[in-house]
Amino acid sequence: MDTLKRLEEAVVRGNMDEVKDLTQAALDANLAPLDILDQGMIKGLEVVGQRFECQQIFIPEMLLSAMAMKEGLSLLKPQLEKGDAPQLGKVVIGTVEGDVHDIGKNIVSMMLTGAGFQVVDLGFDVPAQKFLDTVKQENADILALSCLFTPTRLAMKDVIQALQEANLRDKIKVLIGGAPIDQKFCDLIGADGYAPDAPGGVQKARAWLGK
Amino acid sequence: MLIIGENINSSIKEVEAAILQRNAAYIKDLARRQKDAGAHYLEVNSGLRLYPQEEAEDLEWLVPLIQEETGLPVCIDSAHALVHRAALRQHRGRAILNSINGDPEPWEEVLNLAKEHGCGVIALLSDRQGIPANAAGRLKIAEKIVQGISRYGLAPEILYLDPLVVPVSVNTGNGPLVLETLRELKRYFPEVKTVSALSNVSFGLPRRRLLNQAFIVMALEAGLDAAIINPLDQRLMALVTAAQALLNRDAFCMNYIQAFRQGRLG
Repeated sequence: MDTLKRLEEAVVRGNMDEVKDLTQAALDANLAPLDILDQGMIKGLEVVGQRFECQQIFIPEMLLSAMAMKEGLSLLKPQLEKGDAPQLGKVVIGTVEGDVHDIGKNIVSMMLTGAGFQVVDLGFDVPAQKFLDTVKQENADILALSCLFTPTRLAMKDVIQALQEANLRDKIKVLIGGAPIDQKFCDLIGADGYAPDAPGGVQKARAWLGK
Repeated sequence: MLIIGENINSSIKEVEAAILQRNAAYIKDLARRQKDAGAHYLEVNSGLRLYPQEEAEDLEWLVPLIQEETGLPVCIDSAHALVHRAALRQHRGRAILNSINGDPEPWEEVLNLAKEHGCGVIALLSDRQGIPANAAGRLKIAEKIVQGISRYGLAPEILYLDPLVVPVSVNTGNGPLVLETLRELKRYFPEVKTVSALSNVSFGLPRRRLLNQAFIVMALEAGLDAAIINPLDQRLMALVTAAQALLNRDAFCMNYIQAFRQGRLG
């Protein structure tokens, strides 16, 4: 079996050591870093997403896969940044104001990092202004907003409004997620997309950036 | 143990639909079945509404409906004092207000309502800084809340402290952390009650009921006084009855025996 297929499977199993070894082996075999990412690790992540959705795997397994991807990416990153390979894009992420729940957000953050995005994680209870300032400062491609505590949902709307007022709304994609969030709410507040889980969020982010 | 039935909650799709359509038969049936299964309180939550005014109107409809059907007191779950106030106007008996936490801003409104209407109050051991990662941090918030309610002339006995259950699927230390927090709460604030919405513990894992069933037995031993749970889970309720008999919380095992005669032990 070729190295990339084995890498994909190691990501699915969440085996950190194997992911690291296989990433190194692929680099040693002069495979392009971006191919290692796309055709190895991201393929693995897609499998993880599908299996999670139909409850064949569970949160601890998804966490292990995300951690394994992070390990692999730590080897790829210097190569990705060195070459003329295009950057994947920058994501600013955080839990909205009034909400201190960050478990889901942390998993998404970890997976985006593992998938090669530059992630600026602002933590939890983040005011709209802070999102706005960071998006400007970092020239981000995607803003990812999370909440778990239902009454804080409307803070997502405030963030989108702040983007509009600053004339930044059409320059950035807004991704939202969290327990009380669904497509209906996404449409209501005018976000660009909603994802029900972390792999879904990564897929959406990649699709937006033409991956 | 005080059983607070959790099922009338708008985060459950069918319940949300029943609230929106004012489907009284559905709500009454769900309330009745929880009472028959052994619930002492019924929680109501319509928090999926976007605006507190709509939520208040939902509860003004739900509270009398549930009480007329069951006669049980209600645990009013909302983030807004105006919802608590509206629901209390319709409520008879001793309600429980869910919830405040370590942030003092909403205390005045909620605690004055509690005093006026003679309610119990659930308080979560978190604040703006987040959910403390260890028992000591949670105890510090508990201390602040216990001192806070006395300033409003409320006795510590009306307080139900929730140690906050975070899923073990994201950190396997979360189970022992809750048990340790319960023990410490009982040690430092023996007059205060403890409460937990403990099914969070199983989020993200298969066969969630099994984990909830195992965890409630441990939590009872560690000092849990009240639980916000699904009373329609017969095995869970049977385990509560059995655990209380084993923990000297059931004089002469009479509840256990009675539950057997009523066919509630499975």
